Amino acid sequence: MAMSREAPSLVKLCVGTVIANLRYVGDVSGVDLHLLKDILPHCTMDQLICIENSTQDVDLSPVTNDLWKRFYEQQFGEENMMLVVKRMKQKRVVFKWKKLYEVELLGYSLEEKVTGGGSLSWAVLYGQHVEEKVRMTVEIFFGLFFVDKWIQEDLYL
Amino acid sequence: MKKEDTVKLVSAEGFEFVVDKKAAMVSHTIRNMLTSPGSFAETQHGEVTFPEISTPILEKICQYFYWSLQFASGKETEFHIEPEITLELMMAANYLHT
Repeated sequence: MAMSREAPSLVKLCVGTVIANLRYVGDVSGVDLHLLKDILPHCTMDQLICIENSTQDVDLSPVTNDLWKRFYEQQFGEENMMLVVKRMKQKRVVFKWKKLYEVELLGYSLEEKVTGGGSLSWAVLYGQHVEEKVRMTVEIFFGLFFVDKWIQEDLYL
Repeated sequence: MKKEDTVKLVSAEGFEFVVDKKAAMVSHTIRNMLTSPGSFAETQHGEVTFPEISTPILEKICQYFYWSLQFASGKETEFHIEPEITLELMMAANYLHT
């Protein structure tokens, strides 16, 4: 005898369809964060960037921050990620992992900064035509992390 | 079909979908509206208006109600969702607890 079972919910079917079509997804404002928690972990980094850039009205970081932490770890390694976590705890500051990723992507690891490559990297960084948004992030980020060091070395701008 | 066995679902644009109560009650939200004793005006009139659900989305939801009943009775077919309406449909389904 055939056993009948309960139909999957329409929400579940929709979530599955969205996940299968993530490359077409842009603005997700209006979608509950608890649904996005099921959907967004399936995004590639490019897809996540596209969705975040298209969704201007809503702060998605409560969902996306952990995803960016994962991207950060994948790209720069667990050790680097743990170092950032430790530093943020020590300084009692919190940065969004997307910003940390953007900064780190410029190729200046935290360790280099701490061990003295900071001044050179800083000068190099300012010599480059980096996007204003990224530059500001770098400024805030390193300002909070390394301000003591810059003062000591007379490098703080 | 007796009138009391059906319910009228009205979209944002005013389109009316008359569906079996049994089908509409696949939605937990509609079920609560229709079964809460004496609370909702909808219970008396057998009519529910959804000012935030557009006609094509409400139509798709009605299709899902019947598909869901068929599925539960053993006819397990696929329910196709057009990718372009998925997000809007998902938000409506979430609201309707469907």
